[in-house]
Amino acid sequence: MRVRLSAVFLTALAMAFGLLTLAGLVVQGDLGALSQAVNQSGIRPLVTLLLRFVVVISAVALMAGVYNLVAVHVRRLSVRRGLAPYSLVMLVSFGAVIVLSVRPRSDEARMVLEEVQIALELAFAGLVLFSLVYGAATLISRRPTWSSALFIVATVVMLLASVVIAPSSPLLAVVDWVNAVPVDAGTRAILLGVALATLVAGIRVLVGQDRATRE
Amino acid sequence: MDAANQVLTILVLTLGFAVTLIVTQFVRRRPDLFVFRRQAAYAALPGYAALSVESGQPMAIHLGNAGLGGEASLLALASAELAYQVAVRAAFGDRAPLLTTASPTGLALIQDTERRVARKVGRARVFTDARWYPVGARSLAYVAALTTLQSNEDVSSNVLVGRFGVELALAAESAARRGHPVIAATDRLDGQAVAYAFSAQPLIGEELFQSGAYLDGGATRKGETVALDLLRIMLIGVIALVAVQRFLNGGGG
Repeated sequence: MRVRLSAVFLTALAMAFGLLTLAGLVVQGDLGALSQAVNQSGIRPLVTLLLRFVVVISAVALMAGVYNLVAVHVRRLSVRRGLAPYSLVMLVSFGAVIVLSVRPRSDEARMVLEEVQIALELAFAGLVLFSLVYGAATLISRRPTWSSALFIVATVVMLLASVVIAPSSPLLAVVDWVNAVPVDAGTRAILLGVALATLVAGIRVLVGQDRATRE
Repeated sequence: MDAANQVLTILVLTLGFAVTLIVTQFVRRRPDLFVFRRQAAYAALPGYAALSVESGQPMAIHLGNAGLGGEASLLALASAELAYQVAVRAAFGDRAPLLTTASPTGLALIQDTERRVARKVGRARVFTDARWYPVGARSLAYVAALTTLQSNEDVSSNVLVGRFGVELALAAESAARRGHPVIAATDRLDGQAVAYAFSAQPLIGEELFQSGAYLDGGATRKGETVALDLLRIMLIGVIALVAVQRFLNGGGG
C-alpha cells in the first residue's frame, strides 16, 4: 500500500491537536492531580490559541467564499448573457449592503436586514406550511407502511387537539400524556443516538481514521 | 463544568475510546462475523447514482448549514462522508454531482470532497459543481435557492444530509412534485420529522453517521458501527438500571 507523506503528516497533526484540545477542554479545575498536570503542561493557553485560530480560519473561509461568489457573478456578466441581470442585481445589492454597513451610525444596514431579508424569509416561512401539508398528504401514497400511517394519524390528532380541544376537556390529559411520554421518549432516543454517533465520529477523527484528513 | 460532570465526561470518552478501538480491531480481523440490518436508504443510493449516470442528469447533494469549526463539525464530516460515497458512484456520468452548502467552512469541506472524488475515480480535473449559498444563520433562503435547482439543473435525485430545520420541506416538496427522489436526514428534530415525511427511504438520527459502513464496506467503518451498537446497548442498560433503582426506591418517574 502506498502511503503519502503529506497525508501521514496531516493525520498526525489532526490527532495531536485534537487530543490536546480535548484534554484542555475536558480537564478543568477541581480534578486534583489531573488538573494540575494540565495546568503545568501549558495545554490550556495552547487550546485557547487553537480556538482563536478556528475563528480566524472561519473568517478567512468566509472571505474566500465571498471573493469566489463575486468573481463568479462578475464572470457571468460577460459570459452567460441570460443570467446577467440576476448577477447584476446580486452585485449591486452586495455593494450597497457593504457601503451601508461601513457607514458610521447608520440604520440603513439594519433596515436592509429587517425590511428586506426578514420580510422575504417570513414569506418563505408561509410557503413552508403548504409544503408540510403536501408532504403529509402524499406520505401514505408514496410509502404505504404502518409507520407512515401512525405518523399521519399522530400528526393529525395532535394538530386537532391543539386547536379544537377546550382547556377543560378530559382529552387534554391524553394529549399531555402523549407529549410527555411517547414524544419525549422518542425525542430523547433520537438525540441520544445522534450523541453516540457523534462520539464515535469524534473518536474516528482523533485516532486519524477520518477520510477528510487521511486522503 | 463542575467536577462531577468533568469526571462523567472523561469516563464516557474513555469508554467510547476503549469500545471503539477494541471492537474495530476485532471486526477488522473477522469482518464477516457481523451482518448489518438492511438500510433502505443506503440500499437505494447506489441506484440513484446509477440513474444519474445513465440519464446524464446530476445528483444533488445538499449539506445545509453544517460546517466545520462549530458544534456541527462532526455532523458536517459525517455528511461529507455520505456525499463522498454517493459522489464517487455518480462521478462517471456526463454531469458531475452537484454539492451545495450554506456554511462558509462547509464550502471548503465540499470542495475537498470533490477533490477526493476526482482523485478516486481518476479524473485529472477537479469538478466545479460545489456551490455555496451565503445565507447566514438562517437557511430559508438556502432551501428557497435549492427549489430552483430542480428545474434549472434538471437534477435526477436529491440527498439532503446535514443541518436543516423545518424549512427542508420547501426543497423536498419541490423535488417530490417533479418526481425526483429525496433522501433526507438531519440532527434537528423538527427537520428530522419533515425528512421522514418526504424521504423515499428515511434515514433517522445516527443512521446518517453510518454511510461508510454501508456504502464503503471497509472493516474499520463496520467496526465503528458495531461499536456504536455496543455503546447503545450499554446506554440502554444504564437507563434501565437507573429506572429500576428509582422504581425500587419509590421515586417513580
